[in-house]
Amino acid sequence: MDYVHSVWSYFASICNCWQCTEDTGAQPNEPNERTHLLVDPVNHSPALRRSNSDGLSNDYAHSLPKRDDQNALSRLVQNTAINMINVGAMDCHSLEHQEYADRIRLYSQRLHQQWNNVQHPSISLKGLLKDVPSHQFYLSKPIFPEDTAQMKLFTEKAHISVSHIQIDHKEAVVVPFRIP
Amino acid sequence: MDREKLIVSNQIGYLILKEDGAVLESGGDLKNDEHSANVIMGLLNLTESIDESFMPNSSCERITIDYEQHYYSICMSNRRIYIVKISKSQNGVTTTTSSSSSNSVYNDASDTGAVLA
Amino acid sequence: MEQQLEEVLAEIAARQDTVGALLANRQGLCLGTKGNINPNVSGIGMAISEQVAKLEPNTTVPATICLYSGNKRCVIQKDGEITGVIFKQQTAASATAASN
Repeated sequence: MDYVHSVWSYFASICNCWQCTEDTGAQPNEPNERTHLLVDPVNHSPALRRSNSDGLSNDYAHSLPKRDDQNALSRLVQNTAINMINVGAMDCHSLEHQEYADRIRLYSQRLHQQWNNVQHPSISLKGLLKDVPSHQFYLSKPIFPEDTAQMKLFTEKAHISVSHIQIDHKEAVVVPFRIP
Repeated sequence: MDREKLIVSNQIGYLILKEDGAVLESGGDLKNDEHSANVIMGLLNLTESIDESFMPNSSCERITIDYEQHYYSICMSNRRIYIVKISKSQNGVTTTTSSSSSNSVYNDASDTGAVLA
Repeated sequence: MEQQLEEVLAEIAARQDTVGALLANRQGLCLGTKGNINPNVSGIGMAISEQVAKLEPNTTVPATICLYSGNKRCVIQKDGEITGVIFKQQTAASATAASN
C-alpha cells in the first residue's frame, strides 16, 4: 500500500510541475525547484508508438474473424500504453549525493521564504481565549473558591426545584382531533 | 520531576500547545496527554461568544476548571496555549500519586514500580 | 409550578458580585434566569460544560469552569441533567475587601 501511495504521490508531483512550470521562464538547462522530474514523459511513453499496436492488430486481423473484438482489444492495449510512463527508457539525470543534499537545502530554504510571505488564516481571532502578554502571571492567579461553592449550592438546589416542576393543567391534556 | 518546566507553584502537570492543538511540551500528570489536549482545544475552539455584551468572543484572558483536589488553569500567550494542572493541597506530591492513576503516563521510576507492584 | 426554581435563582443571583444566574437543561434550553443574563447563553453554557465533562469523565464531583475577562467572571457547571451559569463582576468595594 505504501508503494502504491509513493507511486501516486510521485505522479501527483509530476502533474503539479506541469501546472506550475510554464510561466517561470527559467533556463531549460538549469534545474530548479520547478523543473520537471521527468523530461516530457509523453514523448517517451510507449503509447505514441502506435504503429506497434496497429501492426499487431493488422497482423492478426485475417486469422480472427471477429474484428470488433480485435478492435476492442487493441484499444485496450493502446489505452494501457497511454497510461504508462516508461521511466527506465528516459534520460533521467542522476544526482550526486552532494548535489542532492544541496538541492534539498536550497528548496527548503525557498519554501521557507514563501511560507513566511503567506498570510496565514489562523491568525484571525477565534475561540474563547485572547492572547495575553505573560502566561505565568495569569496562570498563577488564584481561583475563587466562593464561585465553586456558590455553583455547588446552585446546582444542588436547582436539582431539587427542577424535580418539583409539574404542569398544572386546567384543560384536558389530551385533545381529540375533529376527524369527520 | 526537576527536568520538567515549572510554570506555577503546586503544579502537577502541564501542556504547551500550538494554536492548532499540536503538543509542543508536556510534563507531570499531563505528560503526552493527547486526550486532555484535544478536549481543551475543543473547548477553546467553541467560536460562539458567551454573551456579546457581558463577555465578547476572544476576550477571556484565562479559563480555570476546578475539581475537588486540583484545578486546571488555561491561557494563551504568544499564540501558545498553556495548560497547567495545579494541586489544591500545599504538598503537591501527595495528590499527584492519587490523581495520576486516571490516564497519565508517568516517567518517574518510583511511580512505575508502584504500578507494577 | 416552577416557583421553587424562581426562588433558587433569586437567592443565587442576590449573592455578592453576582450579575445574573441561569439554569439550562440537557438540551441547552433555558429553564430560568434571574438578573442581567441573556437566556440565549444557555446553549453555549451547556456546550462548554459538555465539552469539559470529557476531560475527567470518571470523576464523581462535577467540574466548575470559570472564564475570566477583566473584572468579570463567567462560572459554569454541569451537574447531571442540568447546567448552571453564573455571571459575576467584581466591584471595586469587593476587590478591596478581598485583598484585606
